[in-house]
Amino acid sequence: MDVDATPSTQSDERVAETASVPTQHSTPSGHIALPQSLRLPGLDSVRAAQSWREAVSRYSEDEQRYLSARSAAYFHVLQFGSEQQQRQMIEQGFPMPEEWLAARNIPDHELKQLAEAGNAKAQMFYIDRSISVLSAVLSQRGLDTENAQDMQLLQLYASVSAMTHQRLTESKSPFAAYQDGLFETRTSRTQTPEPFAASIHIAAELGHAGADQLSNVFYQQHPGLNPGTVMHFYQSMRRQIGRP
Amino acid sequence: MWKYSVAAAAIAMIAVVNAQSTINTPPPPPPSFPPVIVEGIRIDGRRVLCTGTQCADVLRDMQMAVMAEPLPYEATLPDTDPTVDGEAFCENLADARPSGCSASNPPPSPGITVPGKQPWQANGCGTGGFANLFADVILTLASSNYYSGNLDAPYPGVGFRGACDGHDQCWAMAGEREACDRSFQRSMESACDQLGEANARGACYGFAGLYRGAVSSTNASDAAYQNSIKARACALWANDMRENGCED
Repeated sequence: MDVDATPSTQSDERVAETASVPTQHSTPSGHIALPQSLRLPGLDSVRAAQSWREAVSRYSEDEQRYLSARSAAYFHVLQFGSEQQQRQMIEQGFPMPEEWLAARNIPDHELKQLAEAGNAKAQMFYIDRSISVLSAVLSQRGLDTENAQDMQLLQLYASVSAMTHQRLTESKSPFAAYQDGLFETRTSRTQTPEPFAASIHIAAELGHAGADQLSNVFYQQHPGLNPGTVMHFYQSMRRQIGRP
Repeated sequence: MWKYSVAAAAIAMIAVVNAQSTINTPPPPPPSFPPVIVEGIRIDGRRVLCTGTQCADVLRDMQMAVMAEPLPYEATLPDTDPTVDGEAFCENLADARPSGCSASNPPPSPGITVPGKQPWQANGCGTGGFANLFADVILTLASSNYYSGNLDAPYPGVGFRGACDGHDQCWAMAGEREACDRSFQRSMESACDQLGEANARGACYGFAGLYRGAVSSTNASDAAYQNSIKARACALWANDMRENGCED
């Protein structure tokens, strides 16, 4: 990925204020309008569904596999169990299957441009894609400052970490909290799960209805979690969202 | 690719004194003396106090050995900790010396005072352990439009010195790495938050991200963290030797 050390600042400062404002555009029957400030270009609405599973079942096998992989990468926080929950999660900034598939087809340089121009949804996908790139390397080895390609990865690390923190601070969205936790977990040299555990607690405070259930599952799956480290990240994220 | 020496020379050439008012990250709290994690009693009645894991392990093993000795019929368990032989304790503690560690010449470490030695000091972003790494990263990657030329305040008017000192201290006290590094970045970003203009804030965040990346993701930082863990273990062991009257 071609990246820059300086993250965009024209980000989704308006997300929190405008996310709940209903769109004035007409929306096709059976569709849910996406908040104005949370749209990829050309994608104004998504189809309503009774569950994530139902929404995913509409796509090809390859697309279903891709969506399952993205869901698993986020420990299934993307899933919903009713249309009401889907609507709430859309307002909270969680990407829906149509959006994941639309973003999948956007080339790296275009996605980066959109993210740097301040498109909040593009920033989510840019962060997601960058976490995958960084994690693939950092889970295996550290970066070599004498290596030009590694220095590009360091630049990516710098810009994405700043963008991720900025998104949480400014949007206060539960999905931004999960991305912050995922960034910290997947880009740490030990892939330590504590930051993601902390992000679940923050997402719960920010209104993600599925967070409590996820928390139980996550703690069962990671029995050795260090409570002190979870608390450290939790407090850090709480300060980021302006809560003492 | 910049070499450290080239980077340091370049830094020296372009370093500027920023006469404007600077937003500074707060300095870290003064390091406290390491807490006693295990204590025991010697046969002569003196107390054994351990601040490091080597000492704690030695003392626990000796206490367990005493407790494992067969008790006479109808004896009751003692109310106090079992006493340990002071001479044997010192021998065992000396044997537990961390590799490459000297009781008489330990590395400086936060909160530990060694008679006749300089106390540990943080050294900010521009000198000491990470200076070359930061310089290398900044000069290779950062936008020259924004770089101030001062590693302690790479974005003009925003000082990262306190954040760097806090990170130095966190690592030097063998803090959990991910937690130390996250606090480091948040401290820098908090200083950036004081900037009113969004583009300025973003550029400042970019420097915070570069510093964070340098300490969290590079081979050089992996080695530095391991060294800080070893140095702390040595300093605590030497402190326990000294405080418990053991000779190396």
